Amino acid sequence: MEQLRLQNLKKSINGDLIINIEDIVINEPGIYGIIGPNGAGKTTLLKCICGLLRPDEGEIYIEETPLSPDTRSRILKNIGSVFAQSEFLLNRSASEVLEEHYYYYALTPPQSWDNLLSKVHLQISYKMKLGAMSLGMRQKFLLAVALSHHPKILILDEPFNGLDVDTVESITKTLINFARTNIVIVTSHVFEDLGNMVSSIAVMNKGYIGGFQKPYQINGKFSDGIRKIYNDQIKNLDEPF
Amino acid sequence: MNYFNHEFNAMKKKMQSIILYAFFTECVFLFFFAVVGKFDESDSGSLLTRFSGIVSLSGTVTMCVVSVYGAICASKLIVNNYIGFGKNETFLLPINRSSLFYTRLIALSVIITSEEFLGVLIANIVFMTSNMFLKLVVGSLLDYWIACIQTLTIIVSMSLAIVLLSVFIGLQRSSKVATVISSVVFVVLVSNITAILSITTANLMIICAISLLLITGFIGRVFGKRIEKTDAE
Repeated sequence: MEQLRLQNLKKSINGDLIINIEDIVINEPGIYGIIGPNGAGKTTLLKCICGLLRPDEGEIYIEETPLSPDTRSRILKNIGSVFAQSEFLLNRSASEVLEEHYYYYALTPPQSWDNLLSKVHLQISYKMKLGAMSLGMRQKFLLAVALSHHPKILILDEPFNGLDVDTVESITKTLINFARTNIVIVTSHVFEDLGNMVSSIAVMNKGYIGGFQKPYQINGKFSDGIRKIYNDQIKNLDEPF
Repeated sequence: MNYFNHEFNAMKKKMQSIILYAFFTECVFLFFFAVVGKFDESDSGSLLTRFSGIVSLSGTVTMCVVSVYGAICASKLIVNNYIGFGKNETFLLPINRSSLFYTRLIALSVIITSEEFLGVLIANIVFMTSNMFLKLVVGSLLDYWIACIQTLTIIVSMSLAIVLLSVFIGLQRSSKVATVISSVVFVVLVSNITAILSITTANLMIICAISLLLITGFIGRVFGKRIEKTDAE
């Protein structure tokens, strides 16, 4: 079954064409990386997949169901997401965020949140506000929240921005484990972050996206392979048609 | 409406002080106007020697306080969820957007209405009981409670309409500050009319207040439908 299909997708914001995708299909579990420069349309694409933005043209199918206002709430139950901007949550405590999440996803809250947080190697006080957490702690926490309802598709927008090496490693382990049976779509513009984890990589630029391809090593490094893929694809995407 | 209890409890935790604001404002101004009326022997003071005048004026002041405070709470609890990145978080919830929006508005309305009603009612009971001993105002008990019920209906309806209209303006302008400023502007615009009409033609004012509330409800419905089709940030 097709897990995700983007078909003839177009989205303009303020008259600028931000996304122009012909056809992308994801069937297999794995980590799908999307790399591209700032303003390439990566975040806009992820927001379209989550139903936050409505495409001007085209369709998004998730498990072969077209994403629409009628199907959106059902589809969102199978999607977990962490977007780069989490400022809205800064005044809320960890337990408030988790309780609300569990309530709206119709989950029974556990006796303790420890099990959930241990999946992302995080130990915090539940009363701690997100604003008081370090960037790495907050990213881990939001990842734990996104994983808590066992989504089939996990969407992560620049999850490694500003994180130290240990935190990146910790999050990477969690993602690799999760992606054995599920789909993870992750954006970044740092090749090294994605080097050791992605099963497929695509380049996005000016709204266009190249096809997903398996990363390979150059000089023993996947990050160099990804750099090569990036350099090869970005030229074609500058003037795609 | 499945989420009403959750939204109601979450909002109630952060809006419990409305009842205190309503009680203390009403109490202070009931006694203030009664004392002023007792000592003011000029013609203008006649308004303050009647129950209807005192109850209407203090009710109007309470309405102003509750409206502005309610709008401040609503800007944090509702408007904040539908602007900027808050909109993203709200729209990611796996539930119908408009039904969540309506539920939040209804929860807010129930809290404001019940807390203002109770606060003002308790203040009036305190005032009336004290008046039996202090004799600040002379009149029949029946007149007092008729004026009280009329004023309660007016100020609760008007406060709710002002808060909700301010929320809609805040949503339209994508601004929490606009919500609060709108409530202040509305309060300035309607407080004099409310005070005067509540004393002279209370029944007409009740009809106006309930009509305004119905119009507000209609605007809320339009906003709810629009939210279904709105893009996040």
